[in-house]
Amino acid sequence: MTIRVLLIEDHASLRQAMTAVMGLEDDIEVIGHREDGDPDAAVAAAAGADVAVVDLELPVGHGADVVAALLEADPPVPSVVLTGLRDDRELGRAIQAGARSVLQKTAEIPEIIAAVRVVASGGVVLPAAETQRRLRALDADLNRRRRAELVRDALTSREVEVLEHLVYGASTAEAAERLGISPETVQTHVRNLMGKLGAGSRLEAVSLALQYEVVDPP
Amino acid sequence: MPVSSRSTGRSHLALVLALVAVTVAVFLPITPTPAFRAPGTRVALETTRFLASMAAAGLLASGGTGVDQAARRPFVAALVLLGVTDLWFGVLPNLGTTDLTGDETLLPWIAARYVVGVLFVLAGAEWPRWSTARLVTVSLLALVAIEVVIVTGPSPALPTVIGPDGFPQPTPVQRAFEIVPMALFGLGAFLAERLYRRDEQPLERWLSWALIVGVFTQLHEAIFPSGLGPVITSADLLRAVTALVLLAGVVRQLARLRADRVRALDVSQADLRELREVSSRLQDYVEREASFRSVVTHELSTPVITISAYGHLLQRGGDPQDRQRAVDGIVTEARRLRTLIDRMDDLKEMEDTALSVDLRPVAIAPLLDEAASFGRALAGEHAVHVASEDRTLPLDPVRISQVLRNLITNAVRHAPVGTPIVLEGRARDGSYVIRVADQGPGVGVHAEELFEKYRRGQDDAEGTGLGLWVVRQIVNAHGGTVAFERPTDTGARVRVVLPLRESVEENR
Repeated sequence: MTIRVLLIEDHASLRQAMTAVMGLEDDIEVIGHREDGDPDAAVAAAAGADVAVVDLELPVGHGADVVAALLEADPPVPSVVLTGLRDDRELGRAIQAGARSVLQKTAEIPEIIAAVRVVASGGVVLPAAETQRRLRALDADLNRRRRAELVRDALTSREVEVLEHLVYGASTAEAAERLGISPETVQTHVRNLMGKLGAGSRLEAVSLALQYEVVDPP
Repeated sequence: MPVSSRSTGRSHLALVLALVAVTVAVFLPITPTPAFRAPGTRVALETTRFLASMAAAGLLASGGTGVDQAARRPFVAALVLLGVTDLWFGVLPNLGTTDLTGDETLLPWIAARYVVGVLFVLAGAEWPRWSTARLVTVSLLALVAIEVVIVTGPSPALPTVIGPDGFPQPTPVQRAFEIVPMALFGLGAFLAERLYRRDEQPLERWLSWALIVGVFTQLHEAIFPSGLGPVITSADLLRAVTALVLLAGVVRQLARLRADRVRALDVSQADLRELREVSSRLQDYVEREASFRSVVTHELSTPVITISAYGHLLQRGGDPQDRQRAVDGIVTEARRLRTLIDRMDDLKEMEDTALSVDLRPVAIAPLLDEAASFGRALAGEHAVHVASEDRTLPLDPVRISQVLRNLITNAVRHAPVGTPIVLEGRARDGSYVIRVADQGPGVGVHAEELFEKYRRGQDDAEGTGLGLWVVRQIVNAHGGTVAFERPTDTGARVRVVLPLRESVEENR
């Protein structure tokens, strides 16, 4: 039985090379390709395919969304992600979207062909250690973003203004003068925002505010 | 050892002050000013002396952390002892008494000066290295012991002879008693001066001077023993001088501590500023390094895997058509890698040094012609038309040529084969406007994002995402602007506006 492959890759030269390479294998055939990350178009193009080889960075949309859309198609089409990205968070996102294999573009050609065969027959090629690391990186990133979002929502605009002055190293008196409020009010804002940020000191508050991107670095 | 002019000046000042002190001290002893009854003044005097000694002791004990404190401990102990004895024998007994003789307190008071003298000897011998508290405790215990011996011994141990004028008269024994502390105070003055030369704490020098006055006080006491009654004598004036000198030292020391603190604050603020600057530079560097590494690994991976796929194909045989395609593909990808490497150099240059332009008056039309012929060479199948108005404007010809080449390359890459590319240059309202137009698909609503670093167009698989970013950096450095005109229309039109005259802020 021939494995029918859909290539989703924006780099024309690589598409041609992969088509030729897979054509050398008796049991693999490239039946079509897409150059962008439009999930609906990918699903339409995947009709009759056994497996999709998907790049993550694509014009229009993201490869991970294509991977997820192909899994929800009827019949579902499993994906091998082949990407130049090296960021664990991005690769974690692809795994979470349901990629059955995540390969980097530095992989050897036989390795890619082997992964295509396994995934086409319903298997998974995800080495445990690096998969775990990538999912953790994604999780940590999501957590950080979520916390940052919560903190940003919790802070009042006045508190953010006070933080902006603190970031530039202003003292309470200086911040009070520039904001046109009393030093006691500034103290109150600082106390409140430290509570919201979970900071034990002004320095920590400034550090967390920068980390959560509440204020711009000086 | 060379002596700096500053320390010489100080020595002169010290010499003058010492001479004044000697004159006063000698003048007073040889002038037997008549003692007069003034119990209140006496108490005030003794209280001042007590406060001066204690303040000096406190400052000496706390100041100058980091230097060897051991050498100062005997001085601190001596000052505490002087203060305590002033309080004990000078202030307390005189509260409400009118007794002139001061018999009961004279002897222990002299004994106290002996104990203080012993502390100076210990300081000179640098032994034992006890803590200040221990030194004070032992000295006070010794003093109490002496007091006990005096109280339980034959009374009076040192009889005071009251003269016909009703005031105490010196006896030879008393004179002998007063001479020994004189020598010890002299030793103290010498040791305090040595301490000052080492630590340079102002108080130590003033302590040294106070002790010199103390020497002459003892001399006066030896010639005219006055006792401690509620009377004022020349010796009391000398003791007042001692206290004032000590107080002056305390004030100087406090001023010094304050100045040190202000300086330390200044330094720490300067440090903080510098630290902030360094850390922001470091962060910049880390970010640049990370983005550089990411662009290198990411941009290189696609050509690498493509070449490796074609290599695989060649290894595995394949029909002649496939083989030819593989060879062509490898050549194409190698060219792409070469472009990447060239761009990397640009990128690195730009990230290592802030982009600098060397502005000078240059005629623009030849640069446009040159860019057009570059475009024709790049792709023989595109017709590149140039229509320019010549003007001389302040620009960096190398950088502007780079801008034009980048824009032409973009146009050639995106426009369909056979379509014309138009390069125009016109002066308008104090500016020179360059327009590069092609008949490709256009750039769409996200045109502005294309000027961001590492951003590639939708159909642009060959670019590095740096070309337009570089263009904008250069044009901005000229004080100009660059943007797409009507980006949603088909055909891309890049408009570069350069100022015809150099203004102040663009002169960088």
